[in-house]
Amino acid sequence: MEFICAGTCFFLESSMISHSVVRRNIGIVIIVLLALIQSVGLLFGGINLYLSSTQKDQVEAYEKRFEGLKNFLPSQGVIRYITDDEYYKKRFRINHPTFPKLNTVGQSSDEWPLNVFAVPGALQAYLLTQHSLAPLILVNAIDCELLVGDFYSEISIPEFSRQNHVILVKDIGNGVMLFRREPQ
Amino acid sequence: MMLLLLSILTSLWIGLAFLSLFWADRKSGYIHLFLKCCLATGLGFGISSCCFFLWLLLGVSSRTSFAVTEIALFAIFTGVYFYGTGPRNYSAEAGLPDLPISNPKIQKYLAMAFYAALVGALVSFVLYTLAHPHGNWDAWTIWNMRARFVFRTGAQWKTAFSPLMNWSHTDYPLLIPCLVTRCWYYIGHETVTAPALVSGIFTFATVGLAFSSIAVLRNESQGYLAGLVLLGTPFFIQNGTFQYADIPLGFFFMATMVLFSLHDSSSSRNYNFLLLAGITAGLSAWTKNEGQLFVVSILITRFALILTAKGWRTYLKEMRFFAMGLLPVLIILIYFKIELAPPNDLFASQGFRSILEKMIDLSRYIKIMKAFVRDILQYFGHWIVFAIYMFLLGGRIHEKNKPGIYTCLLVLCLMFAGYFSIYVITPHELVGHMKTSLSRLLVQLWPSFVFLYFMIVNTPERSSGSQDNGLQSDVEPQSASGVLK
Repeated sequence: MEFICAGTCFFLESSMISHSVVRRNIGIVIIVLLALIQSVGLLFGGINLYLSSTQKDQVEAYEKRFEGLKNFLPSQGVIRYITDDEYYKKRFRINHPTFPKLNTVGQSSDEWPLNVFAVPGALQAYLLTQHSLAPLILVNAIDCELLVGDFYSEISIPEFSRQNHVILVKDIGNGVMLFRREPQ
Repeated sequence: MMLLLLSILTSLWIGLAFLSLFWADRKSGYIHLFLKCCLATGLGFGISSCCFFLWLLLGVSSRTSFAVTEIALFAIFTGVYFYGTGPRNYSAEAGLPDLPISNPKIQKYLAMAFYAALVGALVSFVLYTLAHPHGNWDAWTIWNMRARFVFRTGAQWKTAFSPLMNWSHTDYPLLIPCLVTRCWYYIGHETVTAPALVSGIFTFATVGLAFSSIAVLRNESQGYLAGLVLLGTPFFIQNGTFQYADIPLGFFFMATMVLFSLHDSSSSRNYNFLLLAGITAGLSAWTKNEGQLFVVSILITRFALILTAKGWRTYLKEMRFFAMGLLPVLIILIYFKIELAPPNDLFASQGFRSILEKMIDLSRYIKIMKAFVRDILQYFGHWIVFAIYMFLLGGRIHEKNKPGIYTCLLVLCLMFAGYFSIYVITPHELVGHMKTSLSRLLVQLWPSFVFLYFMIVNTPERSSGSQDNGLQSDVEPQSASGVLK
């Protein structure tokens, strides 16, 4: 009788252990497989991204775009920036003494523009130019001596100069121009 | 390239030398050494960043002088380590448990999977970085641009904090910008390799920290699983390639949790791990504003846990050591916030009335909850299998690990609550704000969550009843150390 009980206990214990080993192995396989599948997915994503990124990175493209301009700009200071990028025109407003709380990008600390965070592309032209020309600070204020124009469509330089009271200093090409404020 | 590597290695050696002052190398296991190396990575980068900021404040313009200062710092730490008597006597490692034994067969298979995933992640990281060498949006509008301003302006570096640049979040702390600028100072020119390398090291040091800390506190098999989970989270690796500050911040969050857990599971009565935890918590606040919330969460959590369990005396003693590590970094941060940083846009641009109106708007809570669920499922949803794994293997909290685990759990809850509250009162358009930031907030907490999970769930060896191959598995720290009771 004792022998039978001991045998049953041994059998039950063994079956419990083998059962838990199976559970353990299933658990490990799930984690390992999932991690490896995700890693392979990431790897393929990386390969595709790398192969499809034959064109220059947009940040590098902007660096290149403004390279020729740097020789004509001071090493530091504040300059005016204008672009015909349609998002920029919507977002940027000229700083005005009556709205001292407006910051560089025209965001008022009282009235934040709606969706300014929702459309990351909205400020892209400005931000990429700011990154390229740092440590110069680009603003949209009329009292700056120099103005950098960053145009993506044809503009009439005489008309633009008249409207903004500026004189063309240098046309770098690719729509990048440097203007100086008209002497008053 | 050699100079860049030298700058990185100098930082890492400073970290290791500094760490060794408080954690002498008395255990021979490579896991302990690896854990120290991972922690030293963050500490070294943090110390270098703080030193560079102080050096900027002092107005020294020579590049060579900074390199000499750092090498001198390394020499001082090493000298104190080898010839000093004080710190070694207070080594934290004396009370650490011995490494619990793993099942060699399981460990071998898990190690193979881990290294396969590691190679895949490393290659992916390089490919993503080659495709976007300047990182993603915030890298070139905030972190690397700040570094660029500081590097290009030299003595006029405070230009970077002009009120005209407020849109670039000039109130964000400077760990990453200072670190990147420091690398550029070493090599004498700007290169995109520096921020990419810093970001890569933080990403893979986080994986290494998850593996080694769990290996020390549970066992090696469990450590490999924790590392695998991080490597198998594409958003985590991708975020590293973005060159944002969220991965470094996640590193410091987890490092602090690990150091608290090491302290709580250690039998020794010294508090060196807490001093180091104070430094890593401080460095998290020096990385991003969320780190300040983290420091507050730690203080609240330890107050609630230690005061009730061990009383005032222990709590105050713990906090004394924690503060010793925290304060030097905090002083630098406070100086930065008072002297250079503008007010934070979340609070400066709205009054109490506006905040109150948002707080009583129920629809905001619903929107935020939906966004949390959506982003968790989108970026970490595949790890829903954690529930199945826990069901299959079971979970258990060792008595000795309890304070560390509860600290981690409570801090994570407070951080979640904090992030949720910030969204409730944000002055920005809510949906847009969450769309551009919530996923990054979640990835900051992800390493700590993985650490917590693998501290709780049973190790593969324990779940199979310890008799697997007749090995002692996932040994209780008390019995493993053999010196406790």
